[in-house]
Amino acid sequence: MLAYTVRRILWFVPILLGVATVTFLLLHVLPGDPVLSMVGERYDAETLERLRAEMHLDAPLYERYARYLADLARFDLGTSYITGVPVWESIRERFPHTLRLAGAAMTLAVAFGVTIGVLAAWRRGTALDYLLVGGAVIGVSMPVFWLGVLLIYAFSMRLGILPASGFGNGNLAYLVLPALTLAMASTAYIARITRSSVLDEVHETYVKAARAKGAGESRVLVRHALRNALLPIITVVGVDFGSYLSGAVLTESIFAWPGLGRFTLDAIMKRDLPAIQGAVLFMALLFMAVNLLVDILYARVDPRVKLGRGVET
Amino acid sequence: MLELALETAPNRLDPAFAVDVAEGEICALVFEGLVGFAPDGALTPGIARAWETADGRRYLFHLDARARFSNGRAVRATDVKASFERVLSPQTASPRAWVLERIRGSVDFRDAKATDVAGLTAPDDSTLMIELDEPFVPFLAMLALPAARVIDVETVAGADVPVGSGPWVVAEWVRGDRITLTTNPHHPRRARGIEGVRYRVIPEPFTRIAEFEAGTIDVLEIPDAEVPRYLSDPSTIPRLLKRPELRVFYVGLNNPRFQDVRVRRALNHAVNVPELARVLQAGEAIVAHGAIPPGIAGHRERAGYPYDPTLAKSLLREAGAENLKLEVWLRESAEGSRVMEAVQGYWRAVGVDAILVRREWSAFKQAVSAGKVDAFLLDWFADYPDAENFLFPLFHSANRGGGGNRSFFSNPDVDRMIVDASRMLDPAARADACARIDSLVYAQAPWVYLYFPTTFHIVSERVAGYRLPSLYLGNDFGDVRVSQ
Repeated sequence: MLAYTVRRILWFVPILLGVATVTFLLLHVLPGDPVLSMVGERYDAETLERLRAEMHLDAPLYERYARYLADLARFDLGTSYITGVPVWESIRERFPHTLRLAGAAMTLAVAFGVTIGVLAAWRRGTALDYLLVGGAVIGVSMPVFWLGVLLIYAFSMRLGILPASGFGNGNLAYLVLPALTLAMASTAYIARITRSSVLDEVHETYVKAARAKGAGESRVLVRHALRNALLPIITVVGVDFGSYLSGAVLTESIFAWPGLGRFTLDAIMKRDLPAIQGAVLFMALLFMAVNLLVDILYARVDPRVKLGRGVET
Repeated sequence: MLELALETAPNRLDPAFAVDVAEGEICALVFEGLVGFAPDGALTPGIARAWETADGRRYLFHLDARARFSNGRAVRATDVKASFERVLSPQTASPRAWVLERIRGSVDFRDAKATDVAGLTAPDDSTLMIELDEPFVPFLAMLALPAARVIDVETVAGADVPVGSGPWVVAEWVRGDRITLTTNPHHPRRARGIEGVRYRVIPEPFTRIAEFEAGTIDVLEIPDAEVPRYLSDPSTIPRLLKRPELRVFYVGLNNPRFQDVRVRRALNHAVNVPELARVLQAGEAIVAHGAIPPGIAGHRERAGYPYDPTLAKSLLREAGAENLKLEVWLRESAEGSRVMEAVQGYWRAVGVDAILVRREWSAFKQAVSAGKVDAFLLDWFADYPDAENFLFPLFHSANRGGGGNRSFFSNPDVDRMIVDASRMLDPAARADACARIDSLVYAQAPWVYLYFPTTFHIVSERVAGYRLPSLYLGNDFGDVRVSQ
């Protein structure tokens, strides 16, 4: 396992290099000019030239690319053109907020999603199953923006029991609405995956054997079927968690949550090249790390999985 | 604590780098200039208690002996000189150096041909003399802009926010989330009724409304679409504040591409602007028959381009421009889309086919400033309440492109008249001259003139003494009281 993990981590380097190169080139061909974001509505050509020279934007593309890679090799993500703050410092400031929101959302999604999925599987074909599956379809289809606004309207404006926005210096009450909003789609998806995976397992021989031994239905579902149905659930959780850690732009905007998503969006809008490049690289790294963790978790959950060699049957 | 909301997060709280409204508003509270703006836009004393000029070229400022930085140090004339030189210095690379570039010797200093700015002299601690290259009367108002605010230059290195001498001090800045200000204990006109002001960054309009209605922010700028709802509720009307904006909305026409003035006039005649303003602005906007907004000396009521589709069609026919097709660029915004879709409908009725191209700000600005588009929807608002702030950037040929003249309008007579007007010391004569220029440009129809918008704000019941400034720089919250 250790050799596998080290090998995977070593693979991060070429992948990050690829991400850095693609991002660099994409930003180069994108319309818009970072200097224009720095000057306001009124400027002259001389000011633009001075600023371009100051930020080496007047240098040839290959030279800027070489400079960028040299900085990266020294673990230097550069300094934001717009804020003048080192990009790494901004990411370090924003990421804890994103991690908090992603963690809370994922916890809610797993807790509710798995429970709903198991309940639906347990009561398959009944009114409860239809109700839960119907709810899951609605949950998956509900636009984040609409749901966020609806929750703010209900809980902040009408009932006045939860704050509408901000992170409130870490007060838990501020986390509830954004976490619920972000969790909704994952909850519904996890519920559907759990239900179908558990239903796949209940026809397996080992489940029949457990029933034959006299185990109760709930024990059969939770201890036997669910445990073996975990692999697809972990996959979904891994992918969603990875994307949440990259910042949930819509949720962060609606709830004025100062996370990585809004930071990246602002950077893109202002063509703040060092900030965009730094944020994208950091997100890529997170995604790879989460995927690696998921793979390691597979092996823990299912002893048949041998890392690096696929599933032994 | 007065609780306020910002739509965008300030990136820098440094006079040399403040370029947008949010940054400018906070810089104006933390850093004081020689002069400032009152909520009604009038020029007020700042660090300077008095000033004199005989010719609009040489200015003498007498500094207020009570002026103190928030660290307690007295503000001296050399601090003003050092602050200005910092903005002009090539090392600083300030995007706002243009504010001070009329000072004699500033270009030599910027190009490193001089070690200081010759036109800035401080004969003693409480006297500052500023000499310009040429007479320029609006200069006094420009000295209230963020770029001309004074800092303790010694405190710049390593600080997020330099030390200023304004009535407020930044006590806390959580980037992207909030900024908390407390009073500067050394400021003679500091607020007495509140202990602080907290700005929270809330990008979404609906969320700002929810926060206001939940009582967690005290002042809300009401989005246009919500104005009728607030206006129809008798309980909220006493708490509404109305502000005719010092801002003009227009569709800029790329003049070199539409050289025939009949085409440009036809595009104006084709649009029912009063109806557009009535529907989109709850009847509160003022139709623009010029670029200078009401409230600024030089604004005049004049006969406009009346809505006349038949005349528009015949003008287009005369000019050989029937079946005209053009691309109109606009920024991604609900307001812009509503305006431009209406204009597009009016134009279609006279046979003009407009394709709307929506782009985010950076791409929009790049293409429009380079003159690469047929037409564009844009607005221009006053940095300082002077007609020159509209006429010079928007219509002087030296500012074609990024300088503000994005319709690439060019007329040597207008250029000369704008420069002449900026030298006139008599306010009434200058207002008349500006009105004449505005009229002359209007007759050439470089734009499709739309309207001067009006915005509404609502103030929470717990706040008293809040005045809505006519400019974003014009508030110091000195009279505000907040009950718990």
